[in-house]
Amino acid sequence: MLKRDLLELCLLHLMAGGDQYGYELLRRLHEVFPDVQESAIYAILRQLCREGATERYQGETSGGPVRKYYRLTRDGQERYDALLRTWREMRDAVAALGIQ
Amino acid sequence: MRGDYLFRLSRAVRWCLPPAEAAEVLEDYRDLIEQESRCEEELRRDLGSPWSAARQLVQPKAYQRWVTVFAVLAACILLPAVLPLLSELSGIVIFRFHTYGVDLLWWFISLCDKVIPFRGGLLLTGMALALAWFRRGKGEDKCRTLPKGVMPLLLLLLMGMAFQWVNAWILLNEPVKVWEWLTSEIVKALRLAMTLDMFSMGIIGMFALVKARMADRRWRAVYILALAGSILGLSIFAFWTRMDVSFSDTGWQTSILLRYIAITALGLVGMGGSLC
Repeated sequence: MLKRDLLELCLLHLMAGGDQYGYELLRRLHEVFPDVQESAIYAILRQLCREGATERYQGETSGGPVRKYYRLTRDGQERYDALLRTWREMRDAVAALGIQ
Repeated sequence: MRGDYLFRLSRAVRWCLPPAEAAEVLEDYRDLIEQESRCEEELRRDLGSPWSAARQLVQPKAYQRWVTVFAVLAACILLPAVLPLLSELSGIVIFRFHTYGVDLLWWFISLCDKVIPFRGGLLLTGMALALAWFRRGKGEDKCRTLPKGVMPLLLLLLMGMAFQWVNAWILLNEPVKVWEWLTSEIVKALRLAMTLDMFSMGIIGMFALVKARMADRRWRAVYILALAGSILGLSIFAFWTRMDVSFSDTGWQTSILLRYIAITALGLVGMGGSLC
């Protein structure tokens, strides 16, 4: 599992918990991975959208500007499950070697 | 400062991505940047340089396709626009400084001669590719106002083409009479002026090509007219440097004139169609 897959997993995980505002997604992930630039996270988010794992829609806040939200699609849910499985297997394999 | 970053990002994104996608990305970045007040340094730290941010969004195959199209379109206009000037300047240098071992400059002259037979192909390829690549996207609205700068450049190109037609008229209108009052110095100056005219058309065409990608697809009208102008110039230049016709035949000008008219008409029709 590459770091890119890990970032993808994190994005999908956040969206699995409910629809997310685009800026919020980038900010939260950038806080967790400060060495990863927001533009890189945005590129992954766009790719997920292009591949049909997520979809975008415009939502309005009360009196505020139009905001873009992202939600998981059925494909995205499958992808999330697959990535989560891979991550767990990897984590267990590493833990079996005594690496915490 | 944020404006600077967005401006640079806009240029990078519009170059790297297709227009619809670029507009979407820029809207997202505007939204992202306006959420927090960050200076340019902070933006570069958090988002990376504008070009690296744009490159991350590139789909390699689509980008390679665009770069290939750009290279072909650039070659179609630069070969006829630049080679005659290089050939003309090389001729002058070789003539004046032949004792100083400048013979390698013959290379430009022979290259220009090699390109001349393909001028029709360059015109058709450039026009067809520009029309197809910069066609109106699905759902794109018809915009009535032309981008700023298109009209003045089209007028400039039409003036350049008119100058080429003056040269064609001089050449096709009873050469024997014309050579009587044209001194060799005037002929050389006219030919140099015409190659400079073609070179300017090449520069304008390249500028329009970049603008067609980054600003408005209707800039292709300027590219197409510049291309037609360069090819018309190359045809006249080829006739001028070779003079491979039999002047004793009556009506020898007709086929040449028809060719020049066809090139000009193609350019004008292509230009008109491109403005829609």
